Amino acid sequence: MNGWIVLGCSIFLFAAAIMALIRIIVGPKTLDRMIGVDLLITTLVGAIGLEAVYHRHATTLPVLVVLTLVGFVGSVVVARFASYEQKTTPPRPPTAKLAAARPELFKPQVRKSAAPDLEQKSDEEEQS
Amino acid sequence: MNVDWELVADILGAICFAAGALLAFFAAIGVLRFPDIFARMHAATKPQVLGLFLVLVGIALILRQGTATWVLLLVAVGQMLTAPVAAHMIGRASYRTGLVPKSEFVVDELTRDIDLAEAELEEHQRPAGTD
Repeated sequence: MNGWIVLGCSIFLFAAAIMALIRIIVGPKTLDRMIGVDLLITTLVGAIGLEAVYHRHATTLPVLVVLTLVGFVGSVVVARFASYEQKTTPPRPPTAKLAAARPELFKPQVRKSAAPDLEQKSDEEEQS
Repeated sequence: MNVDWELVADILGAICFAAGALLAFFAAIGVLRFPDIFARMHAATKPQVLGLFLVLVGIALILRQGTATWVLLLVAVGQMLTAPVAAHMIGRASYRTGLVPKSEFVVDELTRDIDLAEAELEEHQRPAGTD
C-alpha cells in the first residue's frame, strides 16, 4: 500500500479518535460516553488493520477479534448498569395526564394471571 | 493484454480501506456535533458495520493470505452479531432514563405502553397493599 494513502488514512483515523475522545470527556451522561467508546474501538480496529496492511503481516489480526468482543461486552454492561442507576430518581408525571385524556386506555383489563392459581394450588397441597 | 492482478487487488484494497477510514472520520464528526443521544447513535453505528466491513475487505485484499481472511471473517461475523445488541441496549437505557427529547418525536408509542403497564401493575398490586 502506498505511503501517501497510509498517511491519509492514518490522519483520518487519528482525527476520528481525537473527536471520539472529546465526546468521551465532554459527554453529559454515561451513555454518551459509551457511544464515544464504541466509535473509538471501531477506529482502533481500523488503526491496527492499517498497521498490518502497511507492514504486510497478519500477526496483529487476532487483536481485532478480541477488541470487538470486549467492546460489545463493555457497552452492554455499562448500558445495563446506567439504566439501573438512574431508574429510581425521576418520577414520571404523564400517567395521570394520559388517564384524564384517554380514560378508555386505562380500563382494568380482565386478564387471568397465572400467579393466583399457583398460590391456590400450593395452599390446597399444604392443606391436604 | 497482461493484467497484474496483484496490483489490481492492492488498488481495490486501498480504495476500500480509505473509504472505511473516511467513514469513521465523518461518523466522529457526527458524534461530536449532534445534539441528542439518538442522533449520536445514528452517526456512530455507521462505521461500526459498513466502515468496519470496508476496512476488513481492504485488509483481506491487500494481505491475500488464507488465515488472515478467516480471522477477518470472524471479526465481521462477530461485529454483525453484537452491534445490534449493543445499540439496542444503549437505546433502551437512554429511553428509560429520560435522556431522549420526547417532545420532538412524531410517533411515541413506547411511553403510552409503559404508562399502561405501570397502571396495570398498580391496579394489580393495590388490593394486596391495602388489605
